[in-house]
Order: sequence, then C-alpha cells, then structure tokens
Amino acid sequence: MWLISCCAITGCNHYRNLTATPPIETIAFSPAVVTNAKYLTQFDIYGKHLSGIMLFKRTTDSTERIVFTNEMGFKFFDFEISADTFKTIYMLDRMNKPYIVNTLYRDLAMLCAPGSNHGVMFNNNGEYNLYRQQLSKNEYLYYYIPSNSSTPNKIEMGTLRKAKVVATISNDSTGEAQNIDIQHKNIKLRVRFTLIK
Amino acid sequence: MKKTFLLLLLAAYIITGYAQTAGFAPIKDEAGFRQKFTDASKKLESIKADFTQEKDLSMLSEKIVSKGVFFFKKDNKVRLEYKTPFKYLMVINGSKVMVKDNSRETKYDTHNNKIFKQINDLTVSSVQGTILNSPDFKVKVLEGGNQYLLEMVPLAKGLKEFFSTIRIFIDKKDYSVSRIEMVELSGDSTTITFSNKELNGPVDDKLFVVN
Repeated sequence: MWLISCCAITGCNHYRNLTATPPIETIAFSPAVVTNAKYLTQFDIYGKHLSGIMLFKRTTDSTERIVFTNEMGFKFFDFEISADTFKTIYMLDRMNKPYIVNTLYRDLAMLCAPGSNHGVMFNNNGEYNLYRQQLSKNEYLYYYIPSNSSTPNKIEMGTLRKAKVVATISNDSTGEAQNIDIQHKNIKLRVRFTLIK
Repeated sequence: MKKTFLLLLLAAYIITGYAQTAGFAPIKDEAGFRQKFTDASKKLESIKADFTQEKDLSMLSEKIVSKGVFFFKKDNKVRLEYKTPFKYLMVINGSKVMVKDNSRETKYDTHNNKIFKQINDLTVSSVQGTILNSPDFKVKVLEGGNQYLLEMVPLAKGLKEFFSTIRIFIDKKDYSVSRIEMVELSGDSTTITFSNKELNGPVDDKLFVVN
C-alpha cells in the first residue's frame, strides 16, 4: 500500500533524479554501439524463438545496412537505416507486418545510431555521463556512457518518466560490444546479440 | 540483312554461353548419366563429410563463412552440425526435425512445417538421386571436367519465391554431391562445399536421435 501510494505521488518516475539535475549542455558524443560487426542473434517474442546471424555494415558515414539470416543462410530481412530514412530492402513475407518492421527498426537504429550524435548531457556523477536525445514529441533515447569509456554500456528508450526498452551492453577493453541484451517492458520481446569473431 | 542475322546469332550464342556456369556444357548422354547417378545413389548407405558454408551478400560484398560436419544415413536421416564460428545443429530423422541453437532446442514435424519439409526433401532427394525426377524443379544436366552439374529452377511454391536457381555439383568419380549453390532472387547466394567425404562408412544411429 505504501509502495502504491509512493508510486501515485512520484508517478514511479524512472528519471526523477535526472530531471532534478539541470542538464549541462547539448554536446556531441558517440551513440553508436555497433557499426561493422556480425552477431549471433536470438529473438524471443511471446514464446516464439528465432535465431541467426545479424550483419551490421556502415556503408556511408550516416547509413547502416543490417542483414539477418538464419544459421543456414536463409535470409529474414535486409534493412538500410540512415539519419532520416529507413528502407526495407528485403523482408520475409510472413514477418512483413508494420508493427514488426517498426519495432525492429527502432531497436536496431538505437544500436547503430546513424542519426544525430548530439544529446543533452546529465548527471556527470563521476561514474558515467548520460546523454538524452529526443526522438519524437514524447519519446527519448538515454545513452549511459561510463566515464572511462567512449561507448554506451546501457541505452534506454522511453518517455521523460519511464523506460520502455532497455539495452544492456558488455563492451571489451577496446569498446567493442561483445554482448547486447535488449528487453522490452511493454511487450514480451527480448533480443540478444553475441559478437562473432 | 545476313550480317544482322549473324550478329544476332553471335549475341545469342554469347548470352547463352554466359548464362551457363563456366566450365560446364550440356551433357551428351543424359540418359546414361541418370542411370549411373540413380544406381550409385541406390548403393549409398551413409555419408560423413566436413562442410564449409558461405553466405554471399552480393550488394554488401560481404561473406558469412561457417564450418561443420554433415552426416547422412539411409533412408532419411540427416545431421548438419555447425561448429565454427557458432554452434548450431539440425537433425532430420524421417518426419522429425530437431534444431538446437545457442540457447534453445526446438522440435518440428515436417508434416506441419513446410520449410523443414522442403529442406528435408531437397537434401534427401539430392543424396538419393531422386532429385532428377522431382516435380518441384526443372532440372538441366551439365558436364564439366571432373563434375556433373544439376542446374535446377524451382517450380514449387515456397521455393520459387525465394531461389532463382539451385546448383548441385556431383563428383564424376563416385557420383557424390560435392557442392550446393542456392542463388536467391536478390542475387545473394549460399554455397555449401563438402570435403573429406567418407561414403558408406560406419555412422552411429545415435547421431540422429530426436526425442
């Protein structure tokens, strides 16, 4: 009951400490977690499981090509994402539904970030810097970059109050993402990536 | 007029030549080949081979290369085991299929899963020699120095929406499959090359268990 009351008062604001801290400035940072790499990838959605190889390739400074095949080479999708456009080059018929394409696009764009590299910086508490980018009227991306690194180890997509999608990233000493775990809070979707060397 | 006709003839010849896989020409004795291929396949009890799979993404000039071991045992048992750079296993035993990836094991029945049925049919019919008579493909037989080539255009729904051609290369010395190329409509392709083939050696039934 106490918890419910607290939530009612604060609205369970995931970013309440952040909003209480004035932003430092709009500043350039490196949001891209993945640019050129291959990952063993697993999708788990509402009890269904899909696995395969995802190839990310930066084809121009601001364009990323992403191809997903299963382990036997059967292609599921081929996307091109740039700063302001999204193109489906190929999508397996049975997966070609607007909500699937849109969810995939948003998750993958969050990782390869071909768009803006500027964000409002918050909470330089010595452990990490947090950069916030506005996606649309009520949607934001939050990039958590440890002070001793130049690449994010966590990205959240959400509103000003709560996170809807959380990507947790394990980087090696060079900053290359070894494992990425994307969890959706509103739908039963989890996507896991393991770097193929 | 005569000159134009000759030029057209030359152009047609060049186009036809390029359309064929380099080093291969239409076979002279197709009936003889069909008989020998079918006979050799009937004698085939088992296969163990290493394989290398290359996924060629043409527009990106990128290749995804993986390697593993392939097993076949008569009549209808197949095991495809990827070992590097990732682990992945597919076992077909009759109508039962088991797939094991990095995190999960899943079982299917080919009666209920069209894609696995087509993979199963393609693999087993290639090995057993019945692919030549399959209604799912229009097959052209070509001949090169050391190999025969089955150039197959898919006719079956589900395959023709995805692949433009499937090429099966067959060793002349023992009529075994040495390479399979699957060319997609987009121009991307997947090539599986077999090496270290052991034909009719002992292959344990336990390799094909699908519980």
